[in-house]
Parts: sequence; C-alpha cells; structure tokens
Amino acid sequence: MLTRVAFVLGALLLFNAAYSTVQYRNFLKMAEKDQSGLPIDIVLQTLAAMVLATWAIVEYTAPFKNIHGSNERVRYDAVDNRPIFYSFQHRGALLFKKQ
Amino acid sequence: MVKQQSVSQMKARLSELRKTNQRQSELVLELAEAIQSGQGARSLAAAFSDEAERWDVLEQVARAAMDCGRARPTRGEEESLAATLVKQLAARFPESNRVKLLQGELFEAQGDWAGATQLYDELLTETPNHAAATKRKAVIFKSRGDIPKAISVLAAYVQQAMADYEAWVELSELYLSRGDFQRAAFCFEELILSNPLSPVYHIRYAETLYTMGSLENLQLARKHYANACKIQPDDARSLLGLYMTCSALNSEKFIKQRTPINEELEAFAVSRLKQLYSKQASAPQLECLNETFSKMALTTSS
Repeated sequence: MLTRVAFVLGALLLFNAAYSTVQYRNFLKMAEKDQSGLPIDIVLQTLAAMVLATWAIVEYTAPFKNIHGSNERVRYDAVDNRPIFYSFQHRGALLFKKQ
Repeated sequence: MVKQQSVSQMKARLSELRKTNQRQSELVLELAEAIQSGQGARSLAAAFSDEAERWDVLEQVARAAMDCGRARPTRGEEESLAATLVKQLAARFPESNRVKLLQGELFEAQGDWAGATQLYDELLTETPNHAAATKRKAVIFKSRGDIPKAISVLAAYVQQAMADYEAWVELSELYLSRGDFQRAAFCFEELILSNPLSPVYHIRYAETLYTMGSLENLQLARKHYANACKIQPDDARSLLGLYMTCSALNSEKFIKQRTPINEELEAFAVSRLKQLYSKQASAPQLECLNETFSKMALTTSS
C-alpha cells in the first residue's frame, strides 16, 4: 500500500514539475527575457520525484530473483523426469498389479 | 493416506503432481480412483466438471495407468484403463497430435512395437520435423534393449535440434548406461553451455569426469563441483562430490601434483556437510557421519 501511494505521489510530483516547466517557459516568453535553464526548485523537485517513483516501483515489484540462478532447491527427481522419453517396459507392470 | 482427503484436495494434489513434473504413477492412479468413487461418478471424465482440467487429468492418468501395468486388461476388465482413457481423448480430439502420441505410447506399453512404429512413421510423413515422434522411436529401441540403435536415432536428432536439452540429457543417460563416459561428458558440456546457471549439469559433468578419473579429469571435476557449490550453496550432492574429488587428488597416486588447495577444499566440504547434517540428523546419525569421514580420510591419506 505504502509503495503504491509513494509511486502515485512520485508520478504526480513529476507531472507537477513538467507543468511548472511549461509555465516558467511561457512566463519567460511573455516577459521577453532570453534566459536558458530552470529554477533550482523545479530541478530539485524533478530529481526527488524520480527517486521516489523509482524506489516505489522497485519496492512494489520485489522480491527479486537471485541473479546467479534459481533460489529454489533443485529436485533431482523432477529434473530427471522426462515424460516424452517414458519407457513402459519396467517392473511397474508387475509391482503395481491390481490384486 | 489418500482416503482421508477431500475430493478437492485430491484434485489439487493431482494438479500439483502435473505441474511439478513428477512421475509418481501409483499415487496418480490411487488419487484418480479415489476421486471417481468420492464423486460417485460413472467414469473418471464425469468426475471433472471443469472442461480444461478434465482432459489434462485423463492424459495424466492414462500415462500413469501404462506405468502400472494397466495398459492390458486386468481381471474383470473388458478393456484396460489406459485404453479406455485414450479412446475418450481420441473421441474428443480426433485430430490432435498429442493424443496420437499417447495412442502410440499405449501401443508401446502393450508391447505392440509394429503398431507404435507405424503410427510414429505416419506422424513423421505428415510433419517431417515431428520431434516427439522421433524421440518416441528412440524410446522404442530403448525399451527393446537395443541401446546402440536408440543412441544413433537420438544422436541424429540432436544434430538437427541442438537446443533440445531433454534429448541431450536422455542421450547422455544412454551413453552412461553403456559406460561410454567420454561421449556422455560431451553431452553434459553441451548442456552446461545451454544452461550455465543450472547446478545439475555441472554436477553430472563432474560426476562423469570423476568416474573417468585421470588427473586432468579430476581437476576439471573439482572445478565444476566448486561451481555447483557456488550456484547452489549447501547442496549435499555437490559438497560430497567436491570432497571425494579433492581427496582423490590428495591421494598417493597424484603425490607429485599435490597442491594445498585440495586440502583446503576438502576441509571446507567436510565442515559444510557436517554443518548441513547437524541441522537435520539425530545424534547417533551424526556420530556415524563423523566416523565415516574420519575413516575416509584415513583411507585416502595413507
């Protein structure tokens, strides 16, 4: 739940930063000032939003699998079981005979 | 054990057996019979209302029936259980290759080699790249005890389908059954290439090399056992293999090539094994284990 809220918050902050940027650019055009770059608060907000959203989405998808192979123990009988290569000529027919 | 479970529990157990890829044919049959009588159904198919599940179960039980000698009619049966189920599946899916394959397997289980071969040949003329039919033809040779023939069929197959890891495993097993370690080792090399992160093939490869047992083979086996221990820590099979390989390398035979790493790895494997077993084994069992290790150390170092 916390991660979901955090993600939505991050996305909204990011959207808000983008909106502020557009507003700022419009303001510059109207004031006819020739200036590149953005105010520091918008930059900080963008970075903070990105970190928050990234953290949230990573937390939400966790737990991760081990990069060095599977975490699950190998079950040798399941690994060795190959249905397409079943041979039926074995003791089973006699062992499991219906009495 | 089966009797105390409810019908839905037993159905879940059947599905679990399917998903986790276990053979357990006797258990499958028992469960199927218990489900049928528990539901009071006239046939096994009628006991499963879910359409998708029903046909999977029928296939699973048919194969289990072939394993348990129910491919031929037993006393009091007009038609064997496996044959009945295959017939139902064939009626529902007349064109299905999967069902045709099952029919072929039924022929095999009944010992009707000509019938099975004919069926697989038909499948192969229809679709020349029918992998399963080719594999079953190899199995026919295997079932009849003609391992060299089975090997040649499979070897020709893996030339075309080099990514088919199951076929490589089967081929390696056939080679091993003939004592042809060199070729089996080659199969395991292929398998390691196709799936380097699976500990199983490292272990198998190392075991084959250990069995061949020259200095180079043992050193390579040590490497692969160590890799298996790294991928899957605390696996008794690879730890024991590592221990055996290192103590073999430490023996009198290779006294000139002795390096300290063997002793270190040997000590490491023993300590991990003891640690591993101390979690599960009882006190007398642990005592027995310690005794075995000290005896093995005596025989290899003397």
